[in-house]
Amino acid sequence: MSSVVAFSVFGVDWEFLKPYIVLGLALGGVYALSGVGIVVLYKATGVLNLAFGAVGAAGALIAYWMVNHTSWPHWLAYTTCVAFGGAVNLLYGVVFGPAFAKRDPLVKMIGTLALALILLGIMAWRAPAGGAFVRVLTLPSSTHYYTVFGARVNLTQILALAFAIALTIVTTLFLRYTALGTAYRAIANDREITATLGVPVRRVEASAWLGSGLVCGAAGLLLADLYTSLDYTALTFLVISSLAAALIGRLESLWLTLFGGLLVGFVQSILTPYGSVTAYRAATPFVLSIIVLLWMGRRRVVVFAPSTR
Amino acid sequence: MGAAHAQERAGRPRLPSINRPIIARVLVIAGLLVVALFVFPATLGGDWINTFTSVAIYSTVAAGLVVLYGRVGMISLGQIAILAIGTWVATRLTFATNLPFPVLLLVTGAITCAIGVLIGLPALRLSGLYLALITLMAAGAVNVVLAQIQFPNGGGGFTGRTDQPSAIGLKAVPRPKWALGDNAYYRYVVVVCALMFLLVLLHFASKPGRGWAAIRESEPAALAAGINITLYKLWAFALASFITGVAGCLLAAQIGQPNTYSFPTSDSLSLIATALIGGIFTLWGAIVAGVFMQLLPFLFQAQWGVNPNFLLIVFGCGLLQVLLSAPGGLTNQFPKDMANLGRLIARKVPLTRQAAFGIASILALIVGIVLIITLKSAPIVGIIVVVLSPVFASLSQD
Amino acid sequence: MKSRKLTAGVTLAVVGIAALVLAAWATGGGSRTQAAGGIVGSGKASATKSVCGMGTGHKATGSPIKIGTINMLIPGVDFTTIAKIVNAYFECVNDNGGIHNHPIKYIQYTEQLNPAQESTLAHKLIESDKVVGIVGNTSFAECGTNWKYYEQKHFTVIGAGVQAECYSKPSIVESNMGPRYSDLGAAQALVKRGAKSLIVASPSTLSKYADANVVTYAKEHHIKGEAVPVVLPVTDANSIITHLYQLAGNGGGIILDFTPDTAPALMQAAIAQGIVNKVKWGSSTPIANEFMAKQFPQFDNKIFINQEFSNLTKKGPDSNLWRAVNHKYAPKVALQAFGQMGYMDAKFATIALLRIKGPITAKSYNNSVRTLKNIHTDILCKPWYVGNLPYHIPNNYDVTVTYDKGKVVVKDKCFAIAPVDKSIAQTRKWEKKYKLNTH
Repeated sequence: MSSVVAFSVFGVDWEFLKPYIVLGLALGGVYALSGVGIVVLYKATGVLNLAFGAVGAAGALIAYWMVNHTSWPHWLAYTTCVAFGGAVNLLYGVVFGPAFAKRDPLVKMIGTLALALILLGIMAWRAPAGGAFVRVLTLPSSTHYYTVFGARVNLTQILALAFAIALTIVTTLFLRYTALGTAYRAIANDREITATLGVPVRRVEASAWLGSGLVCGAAGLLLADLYTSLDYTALTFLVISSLAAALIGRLESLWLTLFGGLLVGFVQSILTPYGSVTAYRAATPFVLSIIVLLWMGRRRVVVFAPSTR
Repeated sequence: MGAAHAQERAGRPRLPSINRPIIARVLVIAGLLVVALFVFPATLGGDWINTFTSVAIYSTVAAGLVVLYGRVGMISLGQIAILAIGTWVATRLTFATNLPFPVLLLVTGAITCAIGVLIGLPALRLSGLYLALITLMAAGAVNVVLAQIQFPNGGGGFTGRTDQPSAIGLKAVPRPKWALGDNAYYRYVVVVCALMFLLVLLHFASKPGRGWAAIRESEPAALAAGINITLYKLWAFALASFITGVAGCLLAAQIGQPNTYSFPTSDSLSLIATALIGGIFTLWGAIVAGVFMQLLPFLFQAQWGVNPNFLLIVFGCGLLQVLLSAPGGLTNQFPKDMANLGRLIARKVPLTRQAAFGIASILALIVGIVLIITLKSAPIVGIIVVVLSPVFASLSQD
Repeated sequence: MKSRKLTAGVTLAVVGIAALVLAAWATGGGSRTQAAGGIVGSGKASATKSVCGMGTGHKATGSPIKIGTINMLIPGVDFTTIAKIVNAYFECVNDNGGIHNHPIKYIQYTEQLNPAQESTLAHKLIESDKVVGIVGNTSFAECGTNWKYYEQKHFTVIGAGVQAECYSKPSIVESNMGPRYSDLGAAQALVKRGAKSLIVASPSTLSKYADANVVTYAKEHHIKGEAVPVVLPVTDANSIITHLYQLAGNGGGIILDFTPDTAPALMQAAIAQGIVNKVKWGSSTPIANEFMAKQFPQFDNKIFINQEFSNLTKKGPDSNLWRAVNHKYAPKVALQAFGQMGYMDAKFATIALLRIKGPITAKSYNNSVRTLKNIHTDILCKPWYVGNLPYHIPNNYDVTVTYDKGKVVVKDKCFAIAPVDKSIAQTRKWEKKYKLNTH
């Protein structure tokens, strides 16, 4: 293990901070995963899905019910969670996507807000929390631990990070080299012209919703495990932190999103031991994304956008 | 007052025969005010009056959204955070100074206005989606700060917070001396909120209103016409923050001892949802928003014994329905749909698919809500019907 | 056109099925079914047997007496459990002759931490519903919102509390002791076992109030003491636990002050980081239940939880009756500390009601409540009381429990909460002076 001698670089005790660095990257992996899922959907459909967290939380609740109240095998529960994410997103995309297609991205985003509200209401109704009772969903990979630089991480955290990286690589390649990926980029560029080129626009968009939804379900499962108690309100509003990762990627670059997620997790974790700021570290995703947004807006661009009616 | 104003307007060539509609509107508003100020306190119990006080306050916050989004096209997802800031400022000022209440209202409004402008200034270059996101993030940051410094409770220092149990809870934000009781304070709140609405209306009717309309239609055209876009956008932020700050001060005195639990993140979502459902383009919509946000939960829970979580579902479905087929919200769409229905029944127009689904979607929403309230043993039926509302709305498009 | 209709039809069908599937998983409480059985709570009260109210075994048939409650219900924390057990006890009382043949009607409202709503509901209960008393209120914020209104209306509310106002105002009296004193009790248990430091973590909204005593106690015992506020919801439990461990050091003490929706994340992180055996663990009451014990066997005999009430499995007249009432009238509610709180609140209110000579009104009931003293119950260490005091902390003696093979067992029997806090010292003076809980 690490030696006892602490070395100071820039007056910082790295020995002391090492575990936080590791933990921060593990946390950032989860933010990055959700962030990539959000960006992919945005690139293909122009919809910024604010219901990402709510769908994942609902899927996790269903998985929890299956694990604890039925005798079905656990892998079926986990698969159902992922499939549920895909199904709900697909349903939303098929039923409401075309109607929103010509609207401003802002309006599309508010539509997903409505979905989040509906899911929150259903979850609060069907899965109320009890006093002494809490829902815990533990994935089998969470029982395997590895020591990295003085901190212990479990296999789930490593998987989340690995999954985020793999997803980024695969999606980047997919968008660049496959016909479907090209279709996504074309639709993002100009939906009408792409349609006239014979691309089955609605089917392509539906596939984007499905793919993003599967990621959403997987992220929900991983987050529910990593947060230990299935607090669906927290999971729903976690989308805001994942949104920060997506914004750092400027809603366009997958690699920057991955980096953004890791950065948010890293900074948030590093601030933990510093008493004066530790209470404010939960604001890390917000502050970082505000900085990025302001940087993006520094050049004044006047857009001929349709009025938001 | 209304007649003279209308006559003056009639004198100007570009607004010819506007006398009657304006007189009618003023009479309706005056009538509603009379009912609100005199009939309600005389006939309703303390719990209703308390609820209607909240309705007035949140309507004012929604009016800020009408200014920002309805008139200028800028959406702010952080108005509840601004409300929280207003409440905090009012509470801190009241413990630190002895300002008379009307002065406290103005000072709180001014400080909140300054904060709102400070937040808005760097964000002005962003539009649409990005502005919405930055306000969401700013709201998140404000919530984290508030969770730490919490609300003043009579202590000293900047945060005004004491943790001595003997000192906690003894100081409350005082109401104006002649409006201490709940009924009297309710009337005070209604009057102040009406004044805020009047302030907004005055803006609409004069130069800033025209500037905002120009910016909303097309920013490049407005820029070309020589309109100072930055100034007008800031003005909108300033106005919205001011009236939200005043609402925050009213809220502080209503509650007495505000805390962070009064401003949950989900409230921002509910506010946007209800504002859009009510109608984001007119101030009537703001009043409907306040009613939905505060009166409905009270009715559901305290009067009808229905799980208030169903309201989240109703708001979500209503929001989707409004976005899809009725961007003007209930105040805009409902009369049109009922007129359509009337014409259909009278068989004056053929039933187009769009009209059919449009009517079906509003009916599904209403019937669904009624079913949720009445069929308490099987609310799933009402929920399915309510969820059908946006589906029908989507089918009524293209 | 045709394919659109087909899509629409299929979509509607799928939406319907999806909604039904979503609705199908019932993880919450549904409607309760009454268990068959004999008359619970009937008979003659004695030193070894408690009864519900008058214990006659006959249903009360007169005009109802209205009692109200306001409980917090937010996603993640559900305090309505307490109201459910209060209601269960009142139903038992109604099945046993009521209050001189008048059944109790229990009006339950929930609130979502909206102060305007909390105030509205209090007004509704007292002015519209015209309740004679309010029993069972539990919330993070309601004490603060309504205590003045209750005082104006001469109501004394019996409930269970968390925030400062529940223990510092004359119009509210609780059956529990709240985190400020429960944390201190945990600190006492840890210092007794040689903890080298005391690091206490609470939700940030409560931290300054709840943790002050622990830090003072640590200073008195010349060890390091520090309070760490934690912003909820917890998103990075591992970092927080690492931070707490770094502060506490090996052999130090870490006290957790969280409810079962947050504590598992931190406890899981402690297991993950391998520090369960490196420090001594303490906690306030909420996690003292068998569900948590089964979930965290790694903490067996390592975590010392301050339990504001008797152990859940204790045998005693009130403990037995509480379990029987819970089983018969609220079978879907698991046995837990919230249930004990509800039972006690309801029992104290019933005693107050039964003592009234003459018509039962808001005035007579609340006056009767204020005269309550020396009320024995085996669920508490010392007799409970109200008294005409500027504030009430009747529950100030505790036990320490720990997990052991999926069960909760007692480690330290009833001990006094250290009078580090002025309020406790003053309360003990009043107890002696007015003989409020002399055994």
